[in-house]
Amino acid sequence: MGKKHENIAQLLPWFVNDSLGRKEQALVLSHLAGCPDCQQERDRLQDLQALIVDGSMVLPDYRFSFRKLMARIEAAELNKESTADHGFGKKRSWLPGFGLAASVSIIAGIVAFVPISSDQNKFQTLSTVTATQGMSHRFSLTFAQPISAQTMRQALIDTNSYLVSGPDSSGAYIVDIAVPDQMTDDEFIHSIKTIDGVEDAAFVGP
Amino acid sequence: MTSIQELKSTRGAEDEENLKLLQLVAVKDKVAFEKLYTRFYPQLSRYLNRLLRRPEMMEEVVNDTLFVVWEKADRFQGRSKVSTWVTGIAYLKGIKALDKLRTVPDQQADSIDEEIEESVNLISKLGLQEWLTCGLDMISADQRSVVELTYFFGYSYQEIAETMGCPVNTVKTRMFHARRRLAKLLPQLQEHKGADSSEKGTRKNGVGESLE
Ligand SMILES: [Zn+2]
Repeated sequence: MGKKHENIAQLLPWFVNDSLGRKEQALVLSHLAGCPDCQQERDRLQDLQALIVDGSMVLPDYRFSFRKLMARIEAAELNKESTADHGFGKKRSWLPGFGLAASVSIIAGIVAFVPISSDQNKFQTLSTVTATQGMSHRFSLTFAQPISAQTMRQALIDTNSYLVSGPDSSGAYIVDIAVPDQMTDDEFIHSIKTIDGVEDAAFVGP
Repeated sequence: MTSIQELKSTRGAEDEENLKLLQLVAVKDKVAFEKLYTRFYPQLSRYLNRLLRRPEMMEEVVNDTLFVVWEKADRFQGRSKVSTWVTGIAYLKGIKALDKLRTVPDQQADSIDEEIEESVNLISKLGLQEWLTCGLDMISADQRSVVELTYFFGYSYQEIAETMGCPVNTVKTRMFHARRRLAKLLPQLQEHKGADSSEKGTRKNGVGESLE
Protein backbone atom coordinates (compact mmCIF):
# COMPACT_ATOMS: atom_id res chain seq x y z
CA MET A 1 0.00 0.00 0.00
CA GLY A 2 1.37 3.45 0.93
CA LYS A 3 3.11 5.12 -1.98
CA LYS A 4 1.76 2.67 -4.52
CA HIS A 5 -1.80 3.15 -3.32
CA GLU A 6 -1.40 6.93 -3.65
CA ASN A 7 0.01 6.70 -7.14
CA ILE A 8 -2.72 4.37 -8.29
CA ALA A 9 -5.45 6.42 -6.62
CA GLN A 10 -4.20 9.43 -8.57
CA LEU A 11 -4.73 7.57 -11.86
CA LEU A 12 -8.29 6.46 -11.11
CA PRO A 13 -10.08 9.30 -12.96
CA TRP A 14 -8.33 8.28 -16.17
CA PHE A 15 -8.93 4.62 -15.45
CA VAL A 16 -12.62 5.48 -15.21
CA ASN A 17 -12.59 7.41 -18.51
CA ASP A 18 -10.72 4.58 -20.30
CA SER A 19 -7.80 6.74 -21.42
CA LEU A 20 -4.87 5.09 -19.63
CA GLY A 21 -2.14 3.36 -21.59
CA ARG A 22 -2.06 -0.43 -21.45
CA LYS A 23 0.71 -0.59 -18.87
CA GLU A 24 -0.92 1.80 -16.42
CA GLN A 25 -4.29 0.20 -16.94
CA ALA A 26 -2.86 -3.20 -16.00
CA LEU A 27 -1.21 -1.67 -12.91
CA VAL A 28 -4.48 -0.13 -11.76
CA LEU A 29 -6.41 -3.34 -12.37
CA SER A 30 -4.03 -5.48 -10.34
CA HIS A 31 -4.02 -2.93 -7.48
CA LEU A 32 -7.82 -2.62 -7.51
CA ALA A 33 -8.21 -6.37 -6.96
CA GLY A 34 -6.68 -6.03 -3.50
CA CYS A 35 -7.65 -2.50 -2.41
CA PRO A 36 -11.22 -1.91 -1.17
CA ASP A 37 -10.51 1.83 -0.73
CA CYS A 38 -9.61 2.24 -4.38
CA GLN A 39 -12.59 0.10 -5.41
CA GLN A 40 -14.90 2.42 -3.50
CA GLU A 41 -13.22 5.50 -4.98
CA ARG A 42 -13.53 4.05 -8.49
CA ASP A 43 -17.28 3.54 -7.94
CA ARG A 44 -17.66 7.11 -6.73
CA LEU A 45 -15.76 8.48 -9.70
CA GLN A 46 -17.90 6.43 -12.07
CA ASP A 47 -21.00 7.98 -10.49
CA LEU A 48 -19.44 11.41 -10.83
CA GLN A 49 -18.64 10.80 -14.48
CA ALA A 50 -22.19 9.61 -15.18
CA LEU A 51 -23.52 12.76 -13.55
CA ILE A 52 -21.21 15.04 -15.53
CA VAL A 53 -22.03 13.34 -18.85
CA ASP A 54 -25.74 13.47 -18.05
CA GLY A 55 -25.75 17.24 -17.55
CA SER A 56 -27.68 18.41 -20.58
CA MET A 57 -27.29 21.91 -21.90
CA VAL A 58 -29.61 23.78 -24.21
CA LEU A 59 -27.50 25.30 -26.93
CA PRO A 60 -28.52 28.41 -28.82
CA ASP A 61 -28.72 28.08 -32.60
CA TYR A 62 -25.12 28.09 -33.82
CA ARG A 63 -26.03 30.06 -36.94
CA PHE A 64 -26.65 33.27 -35.05
CA SER A 65 -23.26 33.03 -33.34
CA PHE A 66 -21.60 32.05 -36.59
CA ARG A 67 -23.02 35.09 -38.36
CA LYS A 68 -21.63 37.32 -35.63
CA LEU A 69 -18.20 35.77 -36.00
CA MET A 70 -18.27 36.08 -39.79
CA ALA A 71 -19.15 39.76 -39.47
CA ARG A 72 -16.12 40.15 -37.21
CA ILE A 73 -13.91 38.28 -39.67
CA GLU A 74 -15.17 40.39 -42.57
CA ALA A 75 -14.40 43.53 -40.58
CA ALA A 76 -10.89 42.29 -39.79
CA GLU A 77 -10.28 41.40 -43.43
CA LEU A 78 -11.54 44.73 -44.61
CA ASN A 79 -9.32 46.47 -42.12
CA LYS A 80 -6.30 44.56 -43.45
CA GLU A 81 -7.22 45.37 -47.07
CA SER A 82 -7.80 49.03 -46.40
CA THR A 83 -4.48 49.38 -44.55
CA ALA A 84 -2.74 47.72 -47.47
CA ASP A 85 -4.58 49.74 -50.13
CA HIS A 86 -4.53 53.19 -48.64
CA GLY A 87 -1.67 53.21 -46.19
CA PHE A 88 -1.95 53.85 -42.49
CA GLY A 89 -3.96 56.82 -41.33
CA LYS A 90 -5.49 57.64 -44.70
CA LYS A 91 -9.23 57.96 -44.90
CA ARG A 92 -11.03 55.53 -47.16
CA SER A 93 -13.03 56.97 -50.01
CA TRP A 94 -16.34 55.22 -50.51
CA LEU A 95 -16.79 53.58 -53.84
CA PRO A 96 -19.89 54.36 -55.87
CA GLY A 97 -22.51 51.75 -55.12
CA PHE A 98 -21.78 51.71 -51.43
CA GLY A 99 -25.00 53.55 -50.72
CA LEU A 100 -26.96 50.90 -52.58
CA ALA A 101 -25.23 47.95 -50.93
CA ALA A 102 -25.62 49.65 -47.56
CA SER A 103 -29.31 50.25 -48.12
CA VAL A 104 -29.78 46.55 -48.86
CA SER A 105 -28.00 45.65 -45.66
CA ILE A 106 -29.84 48.25 -43.60
CA ILE A 107 -33.19 47.14 -44.98
CA ALA A 108 -32.14 43.57 -44.27
CA GLY A 109 -31.30 44.56 -40.70
CA ILE A 110 -34.56 46.40 -40.22
CA VAL A 111 -36.86 43.82 -41.71
CA ALA A 112 -35.03 41.18 -39.77
CA PHE A 113 -36.22 42.94 -36.65
CA VAL A 114 -39.76 43.98 -37.45
CA PRO A 115 -42.19 42.58 -39.97
CA ILE A 116 -42.87 44.91 -42.87
CA SER A 117 -44.86 47.75 -41.45
CA SER A 118 -46.41 50.87 -42.84
CA ASP A 119 -45.06 52.84 -39.89
CA GLN A 120 -42.04 54.66 -41.31
CA ASN A 121 -40.96 56.03 -37.93
CA LYS A 122 -40.59 52.57 -36.55
CA PHE A 123 -38.08 51.79 -39.30
CA GLN A 124 -36.05 54.87 -38.53
CA THR A 125 -35.80 54.24 -34.81
CA LEU A 126 -34.68 50.68 -35.41
CA SER A 127 -32.12 51.50 -38.05
CA THR A 128 -29.34 51.87 -35.48
CA VAL A 129 -29.84 48.38 -34.11
CA THR A 130 -27.20 46.17 -35.66
CA ALA A 131 -27.71 42.68 -34.27
CA THR A 132 -30.27 40.55 -36.05
CA GLN A 133 -32.30 37.65 -34.74
CA GLY A 134 -33.94 34.95 -36.78
CA MET A 135 -32.93 32.10 -39.04
CA SER A 136 -30.13 32.80 -41.46
CA HIS A 137 -30.96 32.11 -45.09
CA ARG A 138 -28.87 32.26 -48.20
CA PHE A 139 -29.84 34.66 -50.96
CA SER A 140 -28.46 35.69 -54.30
CA LEU A 141 -28.52 39.38 -55.11
CA THR A 142 -27.90 41.19 -58.38
CA PHE A 143 -27.64 44.90 -58.93
CA ALA A 144 -28.26 47.13 -61.91
CA GLN A 145 -24.81 48.71 -61.47
CA PRO A 146 -21.75 46.61 -60.57
CA ILE A 147 -20.78 46.79 -56.88
CA SER A 148 -17.35 45.73 -55.62
CA ALA A 149 -16.95 42.87 -53.14
CA GLN A 150 -15.26 45.20 -50.69
CA THR A 151 -18.20 47.61 -50.73
CA MET A 152 -20.64 44.75 -50.32
CA ARG A 153 -18.71 43.32 -47.41
CA GLN A 154 -18.47 46.64 -45.61
CA ALA A 155 -22.21 47.21 -45.99
CA LEU A 156 -23.09 43.78 -44.68
CA ILE A 157 -20.96 44.00 -41.54
CA ASP A 158 -23.40 46.31 -39.80
CA THR A 159 -26.24 43.81 -39.87
CA ASN A 160 -24.30 40.67 -38.95
CA SER A 161 -25.03 39.42 -42.43
CA TYR A 162 -22.15 38.15 -44.43
CA LEU A 163 -20.88 37.66 -47.91
CA VAL A 164 -20.56 34.01 -48.89
CA SER A 165 -19.26 34.51 -52.43
CA GLY A 166 -19.36 36.83 -55.41
CA PRO A 167 -19.56 38.65 -57.57
CA ASP A 168 -19.83 35.89 -60.19
CA SER A 169 -19.58 36.60 -63.94
CA SER A 170 -23.08 38.05 -63.96
CA GLY A 171 -22.34 40.28 -60.95
CA ALA A 172 -24.44 38.20 -58.54
CA TYR A 173 -23.57 37.90 -54.85
CA ILE A 174 -24.45 35.10 -52.45
CA VAL A 175 -25.13 36.44 -48.96
CA ASP A 176 -26.38 35.03 -45.65
CA ILE A 177 -29.04 37.22 -44.07
CA ALA A 178 -31.22 36.69 -41.00
CA VAL A 179 -34.90 36.38 -41.78
CA PRO A 180 -37.27 36.89 -38.83
CA ASP A 181 -39.56 34.04 -37.82
CA GLN A 182 -42.64 36.17 -38.56
CA MET A 183 -41.68 36.62 -42.22
CA THR A 184 -41.67 34.22 -45.11
CA ASP A 185 -38.73 34.17 -47.51
CA ASP A 186 -41.00 35.57 -50.23
CA GLU A 187 -41.97 38.57 -48.12
CA PHE A 188 -38.34 39.15 -47.31
CA ILE A 189 -37.25 38.92 -50.94
CA HIS A 190 -40.03 41.29 -51.91
CA SER A 191 -38.75 43.89 -49.45
CA ILE A 192 -35.24 43.66 -50.90
CA LYS A 193 -36.48 43.83 -54.50
CA THR A 194 -38.28 47.10 -53.83
CA ILE A 195 -34.96 48.88 -53.26
CA ASP A 196 -33.94 51.06 -56.21
CA GLY A 197 -30.97 49.58 -58.05
CA VAL A 198 -31.57 46.01 -56.93
CA GLU A 199 -32.13 44.01 -60.09
CA ASP A 200 -32.95 40.65 -58.59
CA ALA A 201 -33.04 38.79 -55.27
CA ALA A 202 -33.66 35.07 -54.88
CA PHE A 203 -33.70 32.47 -52.14
CA VAL A 204 -30.82 30.03 -52.53
CA GLY A 205 -31.08 27.82 -49.44
CA PRO A 206 -31.38 27.69 -45.66
CA MET B 1 -19.60 -0.28 -22.60
CA THR B 2 -18.06 0.77 -25.92
CA SER B 3 -14.63 -0.73 -26.44
CA ILE B 4 -11.62 1.57 -26.17
CA GLN B 5 -10.56 0.63 -29.70
CA GLU B 6 -13.99 1.54 -31.06
CA LEU B 7 -13.95 4.86 -29.24
CA LYS B 8 -10.42 5.65 -30.37
CA SER B 9 -11.07 4.83 -34.02
CA THR B 10 -14.16 7.10 -33.99
CA ARG B 11 -12.07 9.89 -32.49
CA GLY B 12 -9.31 9.21 -35.03
CA ALA B 13 -11.71 9.48 -37.97
CA GLU B 14 -13.19 12.68 -36.53
CA ASP B 15 -9.78 14.25 -36.21
CA GLU B 16 -8.88 13.31 -39.76
CA GLU B 17 -11.98 15.13 -40.98
CA ASN B 18 -11.16 18.11 -38.73
CA LEU B 19 -7.67 18.23 -40.20
CA LYS B 20 -9.01 18.27 -43.77
CA LEU B 21 -11.35 21.12 -42.89
CA LEU B 22 -8.61 23.03 -41.09
CA GLN B 23 -6.36 22.80 -44.15
CA LEU B 24 -9.14 24.39 -46.21
CA VAL B 25 -9.67 27.05 -43.55
CA ALA B 26 -5.95 27.84 -43.80
CA VAL B 27 -6.59 28.99 -47.39
CA LYS B 28 -9.63 30.98 -46.18
CA ASP B 29 -12.38 28.63 -47.36
CA LYS B 30 -15.48 29.96 -45.62
CA VAL B 31 -17.67 26.96 -46.38
CA ALA B 32 -15.11 24.68 -44.70
CA PHE B 33 -14.93 27.12 -41.80
CA GLU B 34 -18.68 26.93 -41.28
CA LYS B 35 -18.43 23.12 -41.20
CA LEU B 36 -15.60 23.28 -38.70
CA TYR B 37 -17.56 25.80 -36.65
CA THR B 38 -20.58 23.46 -36.59
CA ARG B 39 -18.39 20.59 -35.43
CA PHE B 40 -16.75 22.51 -32.59
CA TYR B 41 -19.62 24.73 -31.48
CA PRO B 42 -21.35 22.16 -29.20
CA GLN B 43 -18.22 20.93 -27.47
CA LEU B 44 -16.65 24.37 -27.04
CA SER B 45 -19.92 25.74 -25.67
CA ARG B 46 -20.14 22.87 -23.25
CA TYR B 47 -16.51 23.17 -22.15
CA LEU B 48 -16.59 26.95 -21.77
CA ASN B 49 -19.91 26.86 -20.00
CA ARG B 50 -18.31 24.64 -17.37
CA LEU B 51 -15.06 26.57 -17.25
CA LEU B 52 -16.58 30.04 -17.05
CA ARG B 53 -19.78 29.29 -15.09
CA ARG B 54 -21.22 32.32 -16.88
CA PRO B 55 -23.54 31.45 -19.75
CA GLU B 56 -23.69 35.07 -20.88
CA MET B 57 -19.95 35.01 -21.65
CA MET B 58 -19.96 31.66 -23.40
CA GLU B 59 -20.81 32.74 -26.94
CA GLU B 60 -18.26 35.52 -26.99
CA VAL B 61 -15.44 33.25 -25.85
CA VAL B 62 -16.49 30.50 -28.30
CA ASN B 63 -16.22 33.10 -31.06
CA ASP B 64 -12.91 34.47 -29.70
CA THR B 65 -11.60 30.91 -29.92
CA LEU B 66 -12.82 30.23 -33.45
CA PHE B 67 -11.63 33.65 -34.59
CA VAL B 68 -8.11 32.55 -33.63
CA VAL B 69 -8.69 29.26 -35.46
CA TRP B 70 -9.64 31.21 -38.60
CA GLU B 71 -6.65 33.54 -38.30
CA LYS B 72 -4.03 30.94 -37.37
CA ALA B 73 -5.19 27.82 -39.19
CA ASP B 74 -2.19 28.03 -41.52
CA ARG B 75 0.15 27.85 -38.52
CA PHE B 76 -1.21 24.54 -37.22
CA GLN B 77 1.76 22.17 -37.23
CA GLY B 78 -0.10 18.90 -36.77
CA ARG B 79 1.86 18.01 -33.63
CA SER B 80 -1.37 17.44 -31.73
CA LYS B 81 -4.93 16.58 -32.63
CA VAL B 82 -6.96 19.44 -34.08
CA SER B 83 -9.45 19.09 -31.21
CA THR B 84 -6.67 19.38 -28.61
CA TRP B 85 -5.33 22.48 -30.35
CA VAL B 86 -8.75 24.13 -30.55
CA THR B 87 -9.66 23.23 -26.95
CA GLY B 88 -6.30 24.62 -25.84
CA ILE B 89 -7.13 27.96 -27.47
CA ALA B 90 -10.54 27.88 -25.77
CA TYR B 91 -8.87 27.26 -22.42
CA LEU B 92 -6.54 30.27 -22.85
CA LYS B 93 -9.37 32.51 -24.02
CA GLY B 94 -11.57 31.33 -21.15
CA ILE B 95 -8.91 31.99 -18.52
CA LYS B 96 -8.25 35.40 -20.04
CA ALA B 97 -11.95 36.25 -19.87
CA LEU B 98 -12.08 35.13 -16.23
CA ASP B 99 -8.97 37.18 -15.41
CA LYS B 100 -10.78 40.24 -16.67
CA LEU B 101 -13.55 39.53 -14.19
CA ARG B 102 -10.99 38.91 -11.42
CA THR B 103 -12.68 35.75 -10.22
CA VAL B 104 -11.22 33.35 -7.65
CA PRO B 105 -7.80 32.25 -8.85
CA ASP B 106 -6.17 28.90 -7.98
CA GLN B 107 -4.27 30.14 -4.94
CA GLN B 108 -7.35 31.47 -3.19
CA ALA B 109 -9.36 28.34 -3.72
CA ASP B 110 -8.31 26.90 -0.33
CA SER B 111 -10.30 29.54 1.48
CA ILE B 112 -13.43 28.05 -0.04
CA ASP B 113 -13.21 24.99 2.21
CA GLU B 114 -15.32 26.61 4.93
CA GLU B 115 -17.87 27.63 2.38
CA ILE B 116 -18.12 24.01 1.30
CA GLU B 117 -18.94 22.88 4.84
CA GLU B 118 -21.75 25.42 5.01
CA SER B 119 -23.11 24.34 1.66
CA VAL B 120 -23.27 20.63 2.39
CA ASN B 121 -26.53 20.94 4.30
CA LEU B 122 -28.11 23.08 1.63
CA ILE B 123 -26.91 20.85 -1.18
CA SER B 124 -28.40 17.76 0.42
CA LYS B 125 -31.80 19.22 -0.40
CA LEU B 126 -31.00 19.77 -4.07
CA GLY B 127 -31.24 17.51 -7.10
CA LEU B 128 -28.17 15.80 -8.51
CA GLN B 129 -27.48 18.34 -11.25
CA GLU B 130 -27.81 21.22 -8.79
CA TRP B 131 -25.44 19.36 -6.51
CA LEU B 132 -22.94 19.14 -9.33
CA THR B 133 -23.34 22.81 -10.22
CA CYS B 134 -22.66 23.82 -6.61
CA GLY B 135 -19.74 21.43 -6.37
CA LEU B 136 -18.14 22.76 -9.53
CA ASP B 137 -18.66 26.34 -8.36
CA MET B 138 -16.43 25.53 -5.42
CA ILE B 139 -13.37 24.49 -7.34
CA SER B 140 -11.07 26.71 -9.38
CA ALA B 141 -11.40 27.22 -13.14
CA ASP B 142 -8.24 25.18 -13.78
CA GLN B 143 -9.60 22.32 -11.69
CA ARG B 144 -12.96 22.49 -13.47
CA SER B 145 -11.16 22.34 -16.77
CA VAL B 146 -9.35 19.15 -15.75
CA VAL B 147 -12.57 17.60 -14.42
CA GLU B 148 -14.55 18.42 -17.56
CA LEU B 149 -11.85 17.35 -20.00
CA THR B 150 -11.49 14.07 -18.14
CA TYR B 151 -15.05 13.05 -17.47
CA PHE B 152 -16.94 14.60 -20.35
CA PHE B 153 -14.37 14.70 -23.12
CA GLY B 154 -12.57 11.52 -22.11
CA TYR B 155 -9.12 13.08 -22.51
CA SER B 156 -6.05 11.30 -21.16
CA TYR B 157 -3.98 13.24 -18.61
CA GLN B 158 -1.30 13.71 -21.28
CA GLU B 159 -3.85 15.28 -23.65
CA ILE B 160 -5.08 17.55 -20.86
CA ALA B 161 -1.51 18.68 -20.16
CA GLU B 162 -1.12 19.50 -23.84
CA THR B 163 -4.44 21.34 -23.97
CA MET B 164 -3.76 23.40 -20.86
CA GLY B 165 -0.08 23.91 -21.58
CA CYS B 166 1.19 22.53 -18.28
CA PRO B 167 3.17 19.48 -17.03
CA VAL B 168 1.27 16.20 -16.49
CA ASN B 169 2.00 16.40 -12.77
CA THR B 170 0.14 19.69 -12.59
CA VAL B 171 -2.85 18.01 -14.21
CA LYS B 172 -2.73 15.23 -11.62
CA THR B 173 -2.38 17.73 -8.78
CA ARG B 174 -5.32 19.80 -10.02
CA MET B 175 -7.44 16.66 -10.27
CA PHE B 176 -6.33 15.63 -6.79
CA HIS B 177 -7.48 18.94 -5.28
CA ALA B 178 -10.72 18.92 -7.26
CA ARG B 179 -11.50 15.40 -6.04
CA ARG B 180 -10.69 16.34 -2.46
CA ARG B 181 -13.15 19.21 -2.56
CA LEU B 182 -15.85 17.33 -4.45
CA ALA B 183 -15.43 14.35 -2.10
CA LYS B 184 -16.86 16.44 0.71
CA LEU B 185 -20.04 16.54 -1.29
CA LEU B 186 -19.84 13.05 -2.77
CA PRO B 187 -21.63 11.27 0.07
CA GLN B 188 -24.68 13.26 -1.00
CA LEU B 189 -24.36 11.65 -4.40
CA GLN B 190 -24.69 8.18 -2.89
CA GLU B 191 -27.83 9.21 -0.97
CA HIS B 192 -29.42 10.68 -4.08
CA LYS B 193 -28.63 7.72 -6.26
CA GLY B 194 -31.65 5.57 -5.40
CA ALA B 195 -34.18 8.39 -5.44
CA ASP B 196 -32.95 9.91 -8.67
CA SER B 197 -32.45 6.85 -10.83
CA SER B 198 -36.04 6.69 -12.10
CA GLU B 199 -35.93 10.31 -13.25
CA LYS B 200 -32.50 9.80 -14.81
CA GLY B 201 -33.84 7.10 -17.13
CA THR B 202 -36.11 9.53 -18.91
CA ARG B 203 -33.58 12.34 -19.19
CA LYS B 204 -31.97 13.08 -22.51
CA ASN B 205 -28.24 13.29 -22.79
CA GLY B 206 -28.23 16.66 -24.56
CA VAL B 207 -24.81 17.80 -25.71
CA GLY B 208 -23.31 14.47 -24.68
CA GLU B 209 -25.21 12.76 -27.45
CA SER B 210 -24.32 15.24 -30.13
CA LEU B 211 -20.66 14.66 -29.40
CA GLU B 212 -20.76 10.93 -30.00
ZN1 LIG C 1 -5.58 1.59 -3.25
